[in-house]
Amino acid sequence: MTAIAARDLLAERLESGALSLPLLPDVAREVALATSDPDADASRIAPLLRRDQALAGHVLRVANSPMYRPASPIVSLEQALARLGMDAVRRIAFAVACEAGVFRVPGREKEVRALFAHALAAAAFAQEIARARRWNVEEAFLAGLLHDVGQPVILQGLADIEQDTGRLDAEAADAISHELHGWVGEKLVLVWNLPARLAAVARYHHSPSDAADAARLAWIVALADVLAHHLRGEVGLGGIGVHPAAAEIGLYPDEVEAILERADAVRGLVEAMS
Amino acid sequence: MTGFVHRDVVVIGGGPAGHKAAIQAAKAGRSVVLIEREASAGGACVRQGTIPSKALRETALAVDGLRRRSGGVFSVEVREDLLISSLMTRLDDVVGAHERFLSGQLSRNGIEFWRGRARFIGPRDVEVLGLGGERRRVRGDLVVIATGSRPRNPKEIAVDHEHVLDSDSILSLTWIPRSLVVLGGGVIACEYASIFAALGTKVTVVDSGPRPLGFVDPEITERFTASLVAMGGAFVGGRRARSAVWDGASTVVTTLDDGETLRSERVLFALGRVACLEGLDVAAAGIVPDARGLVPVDANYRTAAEGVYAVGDVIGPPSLASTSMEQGRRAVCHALGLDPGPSIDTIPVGIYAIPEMASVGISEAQAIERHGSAVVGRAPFSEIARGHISGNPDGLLKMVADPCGHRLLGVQVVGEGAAELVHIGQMALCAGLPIEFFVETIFNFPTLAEAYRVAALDVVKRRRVAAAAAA
Repeated sequence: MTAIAARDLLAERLESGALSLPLLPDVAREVALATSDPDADASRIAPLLRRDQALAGHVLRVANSPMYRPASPIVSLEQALARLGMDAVRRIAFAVACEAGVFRVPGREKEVRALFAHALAAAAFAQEIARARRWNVEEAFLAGLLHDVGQPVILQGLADIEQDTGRLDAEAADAISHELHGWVGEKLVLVWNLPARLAAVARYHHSPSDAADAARLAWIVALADVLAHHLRGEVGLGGIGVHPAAAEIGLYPDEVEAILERADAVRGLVEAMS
Repeated sequence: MTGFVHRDVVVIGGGPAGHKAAIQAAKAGRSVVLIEREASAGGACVRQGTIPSKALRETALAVDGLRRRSGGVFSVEVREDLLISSLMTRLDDVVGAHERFLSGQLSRNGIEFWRGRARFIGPRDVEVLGLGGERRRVRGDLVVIATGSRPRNPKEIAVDHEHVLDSDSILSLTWIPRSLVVLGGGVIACEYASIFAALGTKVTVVDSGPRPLGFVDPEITERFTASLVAMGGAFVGGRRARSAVWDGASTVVTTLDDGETLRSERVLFALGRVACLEGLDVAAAGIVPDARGLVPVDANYRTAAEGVYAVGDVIGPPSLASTSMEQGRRAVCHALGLDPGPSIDTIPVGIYAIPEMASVGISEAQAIERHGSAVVGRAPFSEIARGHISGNPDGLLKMVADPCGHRLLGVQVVGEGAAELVHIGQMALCAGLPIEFFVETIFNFPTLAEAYRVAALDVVKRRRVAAAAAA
């Protein structure tokens, strides 16, 4: 199968809603365990949820589902936790763990782990950027966490397709992922009933000016994305301080450097949560 | 002067003080550059302070007003999952319109706008760092420092702008918190405390003073506190916060100096502001900030450095936008040898809490201190038809007169419309009008302005009683 055909087939399967999220069962289990403890301290739960974008998304999706009928979208994990309560979170975690038991991306574990680590780093940097500008920290974290959420979905979809057609070469898979991940991410975030602003960021974080009302948030994530790539050694320091995203956000070079000084803390967060 | 451009006037900071200074200089025919770190003029007043908080207040007022006026016909509840941004729907329009107005004024007057961060590199030499890292240098015959202020960062409280917030970040919250501890009893603290209380948040205000707004007449603040309590809030006086710590999940635990703990979803730290002098290197201009970190100035806003003036929040209280604008104008007039006109010492103070408070002139306590005694007339809004019609019977207008009860010395008002109502008193003070003027003047009926006549009649009655007692 050609890369174009694989891309088209993947798009069709995504349109039909046949694909689900990649999950990390260990985290789901830990959440289930922690919420089962009658002496559980609520402060243990939110950080656990943050370890897994898929699980966090799942919790938010349930919190936003018709069953709970929120009058407006819930975007904060704390808010979701407060609304759902421990029992519901435990049920979600259990369900997620079961789903994860049958969810595999053969041969793609390394990429998924790397994607997750990157998402966490971007989320952590996004919240630091928002904090520096006195903007909404919660929203920035979530936008950073979910900005590339389309990518694991694409990897899963490609893995399914490859079972029938044989493995695509890495370059073709990357090209498909690069082309589709914004669209897929947007679709996913909207399906989860999360705010349109987060969906816009997932779609337009590579072209933030197109994100309309969410442009400022998309610029935050665009800069956080660059900083997170720098953390992985994929982008050098040169020019980050004067990156167009920094100028759009209104951060001066030394202020970007001050955020980068948090790199060790961000790295620690990624390691602790990965 | 290699690498320098010359401008007659260099203004650092585009808030109310800097903006007006630049306009005044341009109108006097001088070449002017305004340096501002943000994308447009306006300062914290437009972006973090006055305008955004008033936008949220308008919604809170509508909620509070509907509750008061509906007489129980409507049940008014604010949903707990309502987005704060949805309550400020017109904010972008209001801020945008104001910024366009300010920018238009700058361009109409031929004022250059440089976006960047300024620092002194000589007595009147300024280097500007742009967002892209580029540097420009400008030398001015006159330099005006108007960099404003920012919330104080306390050592004992970690403000993370997520759970423990300050006045710059409080409006970035997604949700209306179910509970909020406000640390501080000043203007900003009381404004936000009452706004969130009106929106249904359980608010607790903690302050070291025995009552909020220590500089305001106690009769006025009593009514503010009573309103806060009526909205489900509380004022904890005479106490300080030792710490405020987020528990990692849902609660910030605030520990007071006596060991008592308060648990809330969010904490607002609103204990003071500090001058924005970071990176400005005022020492290079020969200026030494005082012990409070403010720029010392004389009566004409001159700093210790020749040709360098400072205006607005950076020189300290009263830190009002209205005062700052006037300071900016007067400073430039003085520097350019222009007549700024008579000094205005009857600047009104408006506190946009719920209820609104305002004052002009001196208070009863200040009058007694200065004159030995005072005759005070009161007009509770419960005696004013409009007060009842507008669901505002808890308001009060106080008129403070000299010991003879003839000369008006000050006016204090609490209740909706106070910030507008006080201007009648301001005009009377400026014109030196006697108390009788209010007795003889006919106001529209029904209006809150009638409170002036009621209060004036009260002054007349009390001075007769005092005169009879003296006889």
